[in-house]
Amino acid sequence: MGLSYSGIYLDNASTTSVLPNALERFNEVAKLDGNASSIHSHGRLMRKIVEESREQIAEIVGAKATEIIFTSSGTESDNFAIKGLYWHNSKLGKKTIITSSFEHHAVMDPAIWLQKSDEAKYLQVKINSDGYIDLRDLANMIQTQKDNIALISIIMANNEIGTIQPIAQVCEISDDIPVHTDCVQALGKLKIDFHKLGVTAASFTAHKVGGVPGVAAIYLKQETPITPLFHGGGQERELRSGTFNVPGIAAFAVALRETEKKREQINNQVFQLRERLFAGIKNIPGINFIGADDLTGSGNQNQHLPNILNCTFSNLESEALLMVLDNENLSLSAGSACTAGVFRPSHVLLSMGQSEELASASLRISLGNSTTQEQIDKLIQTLPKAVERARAAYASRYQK
Amino acid sequence: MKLIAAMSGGVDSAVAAARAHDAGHEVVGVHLALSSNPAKYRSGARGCCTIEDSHDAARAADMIGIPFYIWDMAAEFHAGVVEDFIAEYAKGRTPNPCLRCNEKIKFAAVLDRAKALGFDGVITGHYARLIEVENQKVMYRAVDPQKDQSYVLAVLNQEQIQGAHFPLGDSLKIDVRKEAKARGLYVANKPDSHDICFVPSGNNAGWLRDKLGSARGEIVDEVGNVLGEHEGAFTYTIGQRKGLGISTPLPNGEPRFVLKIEPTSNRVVVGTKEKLAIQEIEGEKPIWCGEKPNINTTYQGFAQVRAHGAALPCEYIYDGKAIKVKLNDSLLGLATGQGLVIYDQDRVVGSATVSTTA
Repeated sequence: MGLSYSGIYLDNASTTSVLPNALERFNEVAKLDGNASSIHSHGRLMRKIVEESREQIAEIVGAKATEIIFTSSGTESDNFAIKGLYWHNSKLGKKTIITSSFEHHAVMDPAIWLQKSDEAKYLQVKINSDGYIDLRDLANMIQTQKDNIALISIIMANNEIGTIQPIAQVCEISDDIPVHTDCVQALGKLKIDFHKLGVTAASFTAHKVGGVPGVAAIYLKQETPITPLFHGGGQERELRSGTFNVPGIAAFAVALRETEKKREQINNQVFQLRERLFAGIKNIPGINFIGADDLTGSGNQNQHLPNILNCTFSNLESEALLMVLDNENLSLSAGSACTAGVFRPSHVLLSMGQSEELASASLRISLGNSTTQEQIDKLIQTLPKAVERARAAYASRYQK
Repeated sequence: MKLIAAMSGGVDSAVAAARAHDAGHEVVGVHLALSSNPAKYRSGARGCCTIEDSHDAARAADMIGIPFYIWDMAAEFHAGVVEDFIAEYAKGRTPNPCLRCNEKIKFAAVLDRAKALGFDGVITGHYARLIEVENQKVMYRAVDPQKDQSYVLAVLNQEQIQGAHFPLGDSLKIDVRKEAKARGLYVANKPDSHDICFVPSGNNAGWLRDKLGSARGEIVDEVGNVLGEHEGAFTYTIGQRKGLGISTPLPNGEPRFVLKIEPTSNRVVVGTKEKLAIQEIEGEKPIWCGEKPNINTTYQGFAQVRAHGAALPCEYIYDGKAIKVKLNDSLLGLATGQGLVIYDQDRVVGSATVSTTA
């Protein structure tokens, strides 16, 4: 495989293609000299680019510029929120962390790590079979743990199944407890206004909206006490150290502005394609659609990201299905995480009450602004045969 | 042909895959994840199952220019190889897990999955030759006597052999390394793996004690005199001399050797070297790599009982259930549970598991 590959890319929830204008901006800024923390003219020019980008991004997400801190990845932002809020609040005797049971690993793993390394009490809110958090369960936890809670973290839109969580209601019932939301998947798909939502912290990243990988941000409500993750130059108001990735930050602002401008149009276009896909594959024997009541056309589109379709199949394993599809030049994902390259049953699907077998048999199809009808039709045409092949592999393993 | 190349991350499987690719086959590289707990099994392990090995395999596939995937075979490996290994030791036998892995994983589970996915067979970097005779592949020893791996492949039946591809059988290892270097594969100088891959520490006795406990028992001589104590009979092997911890030597000063392991009484029997000598071997559960021999017919051939052991001239007979071997010359120390492989000159006839010796 050389530097280009002509296969069909339907894994936009993993990363999106870089928008041409963002790439152009990246290249333009990358040519400039100067460290954005230097006081000389070169440095000041770079700093200007950072601050303009910060202001543009802040405006789009309903925040003040000073509330946006640049990081290197969504994972760093999540780690900063979970560990930073916990480290600060645990000193005040608050050692309980509450998250949903289907967070991204970048949220769950730091919480598990704190549970092991610092005896944090880690509670997970139940998920119903449709893929939404159980608010009553959360309310009960808040009632019993109230003064001990360091933070609550609930994902804004689930990365595997696309369901949108009621974050505003979470903030409401959480009162003055810090609430963090991972909106890595939601950014660019939903209208986001952190001030209106009432969250304390939020993570989001450039490469899901047409920016380049390696740059992300965290929204931190003004005057939120938090312990930094990185120490060093103190570039981001002593809250985060590390040289600014100026080309990446500049490209992030361009990509987000462009995405926001076309958001509704792209959402609509992507949603239509997903409907076409749904209609084209719904009759595959043993297929089951996950967490999307709107997929039948009757539900509420606002509770689900328009670009993600997650389904499971009886009697197969994602591992084999993805290999067969890749062999047909179709790049897709199971949605769930790999451990050393080995697929594990999806914790998201398990949290919704799916069996371990089906949680190992998922396919996440995620569309993007570059997805075409021809590509969707190719998947519709290929999937039934691919499922058959993967089922033969399954039979060779389990049905002797 | 469409072929799956099983890539361990070592130099041999990388060159095997590259050669098949060059030959015009449609090759897809697959690394087998054999541990259900990768972080534990794999970090720092020296076998073929570490995370580094899987990265090496992926890089080799990149450089060859073939697709690459990881297949999770942990459940099959645990049931077919690790559990068998533990159960055999618990019975006082000394198993060879590489034979079981070839029999149950690489040329069974992997080959079956490959066929189900529309592939024609599996390529590995094993050193053995497959020669086509009347449209049937027949297995022979490799050209390189130092590397010949036909012993651990003698557990393949005819059908499995038809789906197997060993592109390195005609090569010397030294040339394979040179070729890897010339191809720019950075695994060219990677050392060979020798340990049991699922015992990362290399300490088999300690690993077995963890699994089977360390019940103390007696070390006795042939008439039952207690000479010492051990911490688990299964950590000994027939013919073992070192590490017995016996303070009283034989009257003539000769060393003592492990003659027998008695799992039920948890005793280890020791004695003189001559007592280790055996001339008859019976092997159970035979597998024939080619045509089955005629029942109750005596054949002349060679027996091999260790992976890099000598080919011992013998006569053998198959009685419909077991292979019975009479060695021309006696052999010192053979543990039950080992693989018994029969050759007709360089042709691999078949194999069985050593059940009794005399």
